Amino acid sequence: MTIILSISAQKEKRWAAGPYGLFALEEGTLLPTPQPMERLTVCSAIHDRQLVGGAPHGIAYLYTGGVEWQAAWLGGATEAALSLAPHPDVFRTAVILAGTEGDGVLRSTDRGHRWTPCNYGLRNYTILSLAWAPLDTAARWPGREFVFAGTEEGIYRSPSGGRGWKRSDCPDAPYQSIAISLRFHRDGLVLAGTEEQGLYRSADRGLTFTLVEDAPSRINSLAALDGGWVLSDEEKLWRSADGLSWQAVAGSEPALVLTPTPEGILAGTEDGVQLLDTETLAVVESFRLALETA
Amino acid sequence: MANTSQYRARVAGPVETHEHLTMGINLIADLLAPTLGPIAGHIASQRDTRGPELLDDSATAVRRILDFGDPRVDIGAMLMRSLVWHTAERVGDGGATCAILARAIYINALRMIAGGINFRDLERGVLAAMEAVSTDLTTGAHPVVSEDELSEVAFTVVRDRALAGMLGEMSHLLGSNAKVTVQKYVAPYLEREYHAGANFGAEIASYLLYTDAARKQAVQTECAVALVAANLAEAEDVIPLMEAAVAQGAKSLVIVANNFKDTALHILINNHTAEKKKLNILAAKIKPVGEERRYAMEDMALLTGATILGQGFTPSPRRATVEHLGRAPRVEVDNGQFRLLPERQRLVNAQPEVDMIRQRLAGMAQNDEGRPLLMNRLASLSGGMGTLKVGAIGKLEREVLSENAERALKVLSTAQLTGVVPGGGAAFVHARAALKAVKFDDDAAYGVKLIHDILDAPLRQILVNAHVSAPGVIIDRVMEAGPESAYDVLQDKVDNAMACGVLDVAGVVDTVLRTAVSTALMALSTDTIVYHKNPKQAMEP
Repeated sequence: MTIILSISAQKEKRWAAGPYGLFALEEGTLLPTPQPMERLTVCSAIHDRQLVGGAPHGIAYLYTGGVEWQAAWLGGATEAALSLAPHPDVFRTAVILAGTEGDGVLRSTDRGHRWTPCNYGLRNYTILSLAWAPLDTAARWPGREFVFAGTEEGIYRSPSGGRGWKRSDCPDAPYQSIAISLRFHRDGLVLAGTEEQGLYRSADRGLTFTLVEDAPSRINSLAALDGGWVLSDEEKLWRSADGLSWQAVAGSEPALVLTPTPEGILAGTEDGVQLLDTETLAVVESFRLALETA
Repeated sequence: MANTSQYRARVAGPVETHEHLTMGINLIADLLAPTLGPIAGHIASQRDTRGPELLDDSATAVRRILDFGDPRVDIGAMLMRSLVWHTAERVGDGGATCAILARAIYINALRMIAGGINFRDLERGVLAAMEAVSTDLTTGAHPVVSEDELSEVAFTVVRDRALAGMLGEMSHLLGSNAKVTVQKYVAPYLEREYHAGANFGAEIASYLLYTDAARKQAVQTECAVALVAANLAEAEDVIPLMEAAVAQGAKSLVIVANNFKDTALHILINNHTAEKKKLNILAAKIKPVGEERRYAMEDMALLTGATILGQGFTPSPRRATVEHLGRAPRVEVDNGQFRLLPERQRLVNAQPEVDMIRQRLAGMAQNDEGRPLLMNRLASLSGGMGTLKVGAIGKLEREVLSENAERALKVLSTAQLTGVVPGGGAAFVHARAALKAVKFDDDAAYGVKLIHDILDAPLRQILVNAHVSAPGVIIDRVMEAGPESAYDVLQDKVDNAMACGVLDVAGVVDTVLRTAVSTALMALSTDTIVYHKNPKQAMEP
C-alpha cells in the first residue's frame, strides 16, 4: 500500500508524496526519494528546486542536483504545511503559497526560501487546499491574481495573489479540494469539494458558492480540465461538462488527488499513481512502488 | 474700489457686492472647468524658482492660490476656494463639479432675482428641488461590491489603471472603513501589504531583541503579554513579569511599556540572549501619546486579556501575577509597527466595541478630525490594516501619486457606503425627472426650474472639454437613453454606465450638490461686503 496525497508535475520531473514518503515517478515505478519530514504531507517541484511540506520542519527545499534538504525560514510559523501552490508563472514571479495546519497561509516571493504569514481576512488558520486561477493576460486591472483557499470552515478568495483574503459567501464546512475553470476569467467557475457535505459551485468568480444537488456528497479530489471537470469520491471517478450534472465513469478507481498534466491526469490512489487518459479517464500507465513491481 | 488701500475699511453695497462676487466666482470656476472629465486639461501653477507645477485636481489647484491681489475678486474667489477645498476634504473628489454647479446656481439665480423673483421664495424652491434630486441620487444608487467595480470608481479619481486596480482591491478586502497607510518610495514602485491583527505604533526597546536583525524584525509566538503604562527602569519592575510569564507556561514574554531603561532593559536583553533561556523576550516602547496611547493600551488589553499595570490606581508591575498577563498567539515588531495577532475569541469579545466605533464613524464626516483615531481603533479591533506603497523618481510626482491615492481611498469608502450612479454628470441630468413631483404655486417654482436648468452644467462642461461640437445633442441622447446611461467620452458613445465603467459615487455627487447649493445661496444672500485695508491671508481655506 502506497498512499499518495500529493502529486507535482514539472515538465519531465514528476513527484508524488504521502505518509509513506516521497517518490519520483519513473517508467511505471515509484522510486523512493530521501526527504527530511517525519510526517510528509505535500510536495511541489518548480524549475530549480523541489519542496516538501510536513512535520517537524514545516517546509523544506532541495535544489535540483543538490543532496541536502534545507529547512525554509517560516517567519515564526511552526505548523506543518498541508498544501503548496506555486504561482501560475512561478518562473517569473518566484511566488509560492503554502497552506498550513494552524499558521494560516504563508507566502514566499523567493521560490520557497523565506515565507511570511499572509493571513489578513482569514478566520480559520488551518488551510486544507489552495488553488490559483489561470492568469488573465488581457486583464483590465494589472496585478489582479486570484487564488482560493479552502479552510476548515469556509472558502477564502484573494484577488491579490494571496496577500489578503476575503471569505466567500459559502456554508460552514471543511473544504478539502478546490478546482478553478481553465476559462475562469470568462466563465467565473470555481468548484469546491468537501468530504462530508458535497460539492459547491460558484459562477461569479468565487464570490458566492451554492450546493450542487446532482453531485456525490463525499469528494476526495477535484480537477478542472479543458472543457470539463473530474472528481473522485470514495468509490469511483465522475465527470461533468459544466460542474452541475455529473456522470460516473464506469470501471474507474477512486483517487485521493487528481493532477492534470499535458500527458494526461495523474491520479494518486491508495496504491500508487495512475496516469489517466484525459478524454476517457482510462488508465494509461500505473506507477507502483519499485519493490512491488519487482 | 480700485483705491481700497487708501481706506482702513470700505463698504460695498448690494449692486457692487454681487458684481464683485461674480468676478471671483467666475475666476475660480473658469480656472477649474477645464479639469473636468477624462479628457481634461491641466492647470500649470507657476512656482518661484522651479518650473511650473502641472495640476489636474481641483483641490490642490485652489490650495496653491492665497489671493489674487484684487480685493474685489478675492472675496468671491476665496469663497469658491473654501467650497472646493472642503468638498475634497469631505469626500475626496468633486471639487471642480461643485464649483461649476455653484457658479451656475449663483448666476442663474441673480438673473431671476433681477427679474423680480423673491429671493426667499426662490431659496425655498431651490432647497426643495435639491432634496428631491438628492433622494433620487441616493435611492437609485447601485451598490459596489467587487474589486473590479471599486477599481472603476478609483480610476475616475486617479486615472492610473495600475494604481486604481490596487486601490479597488484594497478597498474590497479592507471594507468601507479601511485603514490604509500610504508609504512613499523614491523610485517607481507600486505594491500593497495587508497586516492581519491589531497594529499599533511602537518601537523595539533594543536592537538586541530583534529575531531577524538584518530585517529589523522581531517575531514571537505563543506569547504572554504584559502592558505597563509607565517607564520600566529597575530590576524589580521586570522580574515579576518574567516570573509570571514562566508560571503561565508561555514560550515568550512581550512587554509593552512607555519606556525601558537601565537595569530593567539589561535584564531583559540578558535573558533573551542567554544560551539556556526559559523565555524569549520582546520589549516594545509604545509611540502614540495622550489619548491615542490610552486607547491603544485599552485596545491591547481587550485583545489580549491583560491588565494595564502602572502607577496610581492601577497595580504596579512589581506586584504582577499570572492573572495580570494576557496572551497572544503571535506578536511582531517591524518598521515602527507593533502587530498583535489576537486569539479568535478575543476578537469576538471585542465585537461590541467594534460595533460602537462603526456607529460613531457612520455619523462622522470624512474630514472629521476624530475620524483617523477611530479608524485606527476599528482596524486594530476588527482584523487589520493595509499599506499602499507608491513610488516615483520625482518628488512632485510622488506627492501627486500619494495624494491621489489618499483621495481615492476616501471616495472608495463613500462608494462602499452609498453606492454608485451613472458618472460624468449623467446622474444629475437623469435626476431632472425627480423634479416633476416638486410643485409650487408661487415664486418657489422658479427655484425648482433653476435647479432643473443647472443640472446639466457638469456634463456640458465635460463635453466642452472633450471638444464635442454639439453638447446639447449629447445631453438629449443621454436623457433619452434612460436612467442607467452615461456618455463615455473616450469611446464617444452613450452607453450603460455600469457596463462602460463611467461611474460617480452617489455620496460624492450628493455632497457636491448640497455644498454647491449651500454656497450659492450664501453668496446670493450677501448684500454687503466690508473690505479691510490689509486682510489676512489664510493658508488653509
